[in-house]
Amino acid sequence: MNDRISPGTADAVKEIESLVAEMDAMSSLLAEIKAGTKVGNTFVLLLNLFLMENTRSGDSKAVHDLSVHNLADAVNLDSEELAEILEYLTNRGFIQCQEI
Amino acid sequence: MSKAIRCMKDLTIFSTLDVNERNKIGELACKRFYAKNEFLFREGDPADTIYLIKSGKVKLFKVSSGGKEIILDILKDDDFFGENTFFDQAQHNMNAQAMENAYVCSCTKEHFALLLQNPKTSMKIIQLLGEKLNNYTNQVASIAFHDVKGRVAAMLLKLAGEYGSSSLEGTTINIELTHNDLASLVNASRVMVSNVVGSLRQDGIIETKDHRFILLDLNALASAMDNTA
Repeated sequence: MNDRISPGTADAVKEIESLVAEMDAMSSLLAEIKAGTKVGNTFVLLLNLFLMENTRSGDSKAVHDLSVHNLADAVNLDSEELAEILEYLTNRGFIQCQEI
Repeated sequence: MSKAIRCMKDLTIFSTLDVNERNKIGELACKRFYAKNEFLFREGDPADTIYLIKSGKVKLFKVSSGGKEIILDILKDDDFFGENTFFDQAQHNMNAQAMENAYVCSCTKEHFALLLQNPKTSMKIIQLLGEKLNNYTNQVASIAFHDVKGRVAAMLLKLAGEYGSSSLEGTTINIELTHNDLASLVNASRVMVSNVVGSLRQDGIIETKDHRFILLDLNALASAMDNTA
């Protein structure tokens, strides 16, 4: 769309495209949660863990010392499935995972 | 439909423009009537049109792999949708269906690009997109942190803020909403929602009439939401 508008509005269009991309990601996540999929259930569990732990790492809430094994058990997934879901959530900017 | 039909150029989104600019918008836009339950687009359709609602209600929803309808949003006058059109060769990632008879304006992405050249319109669109993003984020948080009663209370308060009209009786939500619709909005079973609605009705907090919810005690409803957080 950028090539069809004047240069003066390029920043606004960039901002709009960024917001639309975020909306796409958030509406897809909402649908996953409402459908009760593995992705949705995992994210809801992570949100609740964040709320309980209530610690911060930089600008984000963080859960420390959460093993992939324990998380997989909690959401009833095997480690491979969980790894795929965490990658999905990370790629869309919903979470960050750091190995410790 | 008794309500006066306004032209696209009179929508709030373009209210900051001058007369000439608004006339230009009138020339670019198409208008169409959609009967209740008619689809405006389906998931997977090419996204090449931006829609703006002049009157009526439109629901945006997805269908789960199990066939369950998942309502993501209910839109009203002055709302716009079909944002994926901003991207080249995009597809709609949800369905849009008229919940009641609706008049909807539309314009192509090329025409919309012309409208974006006005900074006031661009800013207004950025503001509206931000509000829509917040709405989705709040729904995610509500599902994660509230039980069904809290989610029903939160959704009724949200809908009252957007579609409510006050009277001596209370605040009426001016959308025909079945328990199924409400269940889809708050991500709960219809039975659970019916139980919660029954309980809120018994406590004198809400009333229902002709598929419309009347909120009798907003403070008590807010407490019902907060108590489950």
